[in-house]
Amino acid sequence: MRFYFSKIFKNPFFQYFSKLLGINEVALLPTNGKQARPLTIVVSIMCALGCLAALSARIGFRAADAWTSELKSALTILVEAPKDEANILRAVQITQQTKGVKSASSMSREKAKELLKNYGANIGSLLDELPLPNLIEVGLDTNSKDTAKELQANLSAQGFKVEVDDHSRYSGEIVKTSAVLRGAALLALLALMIASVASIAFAARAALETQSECVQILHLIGAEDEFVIHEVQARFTRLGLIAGAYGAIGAAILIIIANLIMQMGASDLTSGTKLLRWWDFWILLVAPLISAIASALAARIAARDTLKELV
Amino acid sequence: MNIKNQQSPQDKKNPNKPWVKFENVCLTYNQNQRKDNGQRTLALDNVNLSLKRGGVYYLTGPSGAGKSSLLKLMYLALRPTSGKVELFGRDIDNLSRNELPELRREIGVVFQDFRLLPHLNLFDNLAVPFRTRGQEPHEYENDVIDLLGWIGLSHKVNQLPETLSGGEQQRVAIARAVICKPRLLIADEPTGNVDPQMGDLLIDLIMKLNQYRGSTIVIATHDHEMVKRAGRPVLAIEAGKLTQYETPPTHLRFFGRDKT
Repeated sequence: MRFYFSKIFKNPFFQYFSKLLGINEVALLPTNGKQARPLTIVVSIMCALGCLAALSARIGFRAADAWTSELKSALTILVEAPKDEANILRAVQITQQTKGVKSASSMSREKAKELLKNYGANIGSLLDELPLPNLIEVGLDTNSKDTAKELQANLSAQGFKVEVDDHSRYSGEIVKTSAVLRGAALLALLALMIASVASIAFAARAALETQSECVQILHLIGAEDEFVIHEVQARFTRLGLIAGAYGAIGAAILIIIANLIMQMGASDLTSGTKLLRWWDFWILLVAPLISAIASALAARIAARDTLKELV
Repeated sequence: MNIKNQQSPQDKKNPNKPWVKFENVCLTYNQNQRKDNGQRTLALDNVNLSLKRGGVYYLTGPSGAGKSSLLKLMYLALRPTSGKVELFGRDIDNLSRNELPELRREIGVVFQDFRLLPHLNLFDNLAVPFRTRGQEPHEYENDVIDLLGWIGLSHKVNQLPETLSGGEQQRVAIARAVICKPRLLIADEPTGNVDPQMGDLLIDLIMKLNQYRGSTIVIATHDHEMVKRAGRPVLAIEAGKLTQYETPPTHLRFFGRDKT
């Protein structure tokens, strides 16, 4: 066991990361707990919000994909003439034989009535007297292309007067709406990341100012700028990693609570959680790393700027 | 502690070249650095000096005369407003920012206010110069322990500076300055906080560095008895103007607190 651990510690990969994070070394710049704690809390909250924004974006992406693929994988044919049952059946057969069509069936009168009811046409017995349209529901292969045009051509060639509706009117709107949703989620994520980086940079600058005496001593003793920058960066990378982990855990707990609320039959607000898959939680694993990298960059820039002021 | 060290090839090449050379150096503090009713303050006025390799120099003068400014220029905490500063034969104006740390490592500084890192114990404080050079603990721990023994603080190796007396902190500050055997040692009032016996011990340590390593030593002090006793060259400064004497002058009007 001891041999196993000593092997890990001697591993160059481990040594690189322990150096990067300043583990196993006495910090040359003092750590200020009073300053670090509030910053850890702020970054944790930002990270939790970031995780939730990213998961919301994932839900938005998946919902939009589901809606658009549902719309794109089906079309409807309105048979205007001839309308008799035998010809409708023939039109269904022609449709079934067209390339790219997975399934085709004529819509029953009962289903057509249901559809009309959904659009507010609940007019009781009068509905039976209405001339309902003759519709063929068509399921398409996911890779099908130009099937609508082909169907129009095939059915017209066989003497049918038809109108093929490929739902593009609706799918266009949905694609636009989902693009807006995705954009909003990504913007929220970006805004949170910028806020986190800015607050870390601010804290790093403040830390360097309060420790300017120590920085100056290191500088005068002959420490290269990169050495001092590494000292500052290692500390804030550690802080970012820890705060990121807290944030990710917080976000996971919130998602679990939202899921429980949804299972208890509560609000629409939590309904998105059912669109999440277990593998979407890679976002929570990556969040601390992103937080650590952002912290490292922010601290690096702040330290470099501060050192430039010294001779 | 083995304080002996080999001379660098560059040192052997130019044995007579001054280690520290100031030519017409002026230093002015602008408003950002020092606020004096919005006026610019002339801290050093046309200073010329030349310090030989291996020389020991005492810098003296009244408070506010420009001693600290002169020392800061020597240990590269400031750049002159005008004039030329050369250290170890290199003009500092021609050095890039990346080259300065290397030069600073050749300079040991004993600050008047010690400037030890307050969160580090004595061992770690003495290890700082080695760590800034990228050395690993196994390369320096013997040197640190030896030197701690030499200054009589082995038993306090794990203590923080705040737990030490002023004199003990002074000893640690000197130890930190000499531990990497610098080519130039600048000490600002190095015996100001210690009893005469410890003062002699510390001066002895500094002189050993001078004797074996050939380091140039600059000691700023108000203690004119020490200056007279040493019989070494004196840099006397008053109102930013410097006068260099090869032996301590007989008149004492430059000697800080003890203006008689």
